[in-house]
Amino acid sequence: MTAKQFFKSQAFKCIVVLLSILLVCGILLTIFNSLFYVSAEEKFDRAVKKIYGKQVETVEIKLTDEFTTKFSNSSVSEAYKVVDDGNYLIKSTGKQGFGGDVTCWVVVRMDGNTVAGAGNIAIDKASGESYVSKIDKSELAQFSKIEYTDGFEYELGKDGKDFIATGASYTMRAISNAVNGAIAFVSVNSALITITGDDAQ
Amino acid sequence: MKNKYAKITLDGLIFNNPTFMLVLGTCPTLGLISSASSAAGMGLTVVVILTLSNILISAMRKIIPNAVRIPAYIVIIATLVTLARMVLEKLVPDLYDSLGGFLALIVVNCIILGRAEAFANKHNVLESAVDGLANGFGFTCALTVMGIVCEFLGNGSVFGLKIMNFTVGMFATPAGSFIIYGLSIALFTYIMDVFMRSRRVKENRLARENLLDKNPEGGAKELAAKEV
Repeated sequence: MTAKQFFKSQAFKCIVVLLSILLVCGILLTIFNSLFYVSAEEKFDRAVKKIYGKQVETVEIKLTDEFTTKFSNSSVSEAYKVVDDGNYLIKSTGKQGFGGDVTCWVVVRMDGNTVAGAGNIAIDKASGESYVSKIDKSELAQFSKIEYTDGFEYELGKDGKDFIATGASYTMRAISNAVNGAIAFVSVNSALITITGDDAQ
Repeated sequence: MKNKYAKITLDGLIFNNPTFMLVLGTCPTLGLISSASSAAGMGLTVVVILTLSNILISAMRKIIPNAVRIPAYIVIIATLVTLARMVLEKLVPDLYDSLGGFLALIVVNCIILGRAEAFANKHNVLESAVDGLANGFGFTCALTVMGIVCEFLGNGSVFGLKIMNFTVGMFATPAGSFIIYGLSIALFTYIMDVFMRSRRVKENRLARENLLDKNPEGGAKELAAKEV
């Protein structure tokens, strides 16, 4: 096949059409991405509004290697001290979900310098969790209703029968892990958090 | 001309309803009908994407070579879905959260690819747009109705408003959705069957009367022969 034949062929037309469509789609996606990009600050503001119903003043706690975590099935990526009520807002990711991890914003309620349990919770990200929409506010509110004592861990099917009635029990297990991880993080690192938090203020 | 658009609309909404008659888009149907608002949100998102994809594919039907039409359709649909995701995440985050993974799965929703292949690449832009709207709203209505039933039985609420305390937990799960989906198909098919039968009877009666009016003797003989 000569070059002239190739440029006149159906194969060349197919390539040109597909590449043109890809190019136009790519340009459109780039424009829309710059217009509708949701920044990390905006996501944080949304989470705070979801939890508190209004914007509250927070102080970020810089996480360093000195902070330790008690659980291997959860990890903490961000931590804030809420100035308004003295509680902590922790971004914690729970493992063992249904095909993915669940990242939650967890309020850790404080009674003075001791942990008093979990407060409001908002789901931030749940990649691969197709039934995360089954878990509504009432399901998440169960954590704050359960009495907390030091060292306590939330466990599916043990602390309340409704924990497994969502149709999304794997996702709920990941959320439980995230909540346990957030509470353990604050209780294990309480001295460090207080010092760092006070410094930040 | 008017009849053509009416036929396309009625086909999409009722006679070839994608959910009840063609059983397309089953994955989001089963996944989302446990909540009426999620079901309606998914339906409306599909309306927008289906209409736009039908318009674009119809407009480009003479440019896209037959050999690469499916990859081209997939690229167009995937782009539209991604754009819809971006817009929803920015402007309607609650709906974006409630649709979860099913929003991305619209790319492989067989209603959209099915209409592109079966209708949009053979008809003009306006007809394709009407077809997209009709099929999209047919899908939305079906999902919303089943969503209302499932949410009412499973959570005792409709669109989040609590109505009763008695609930059957199973209907809040995909298993319950499957049962409601099956019953809905059975009911819709029964209603369509009754409607079509009565329409056939009416048409036959009119044809009989016309035949007898035009030629009373010959018509009667012809009818008798047909009945035999």
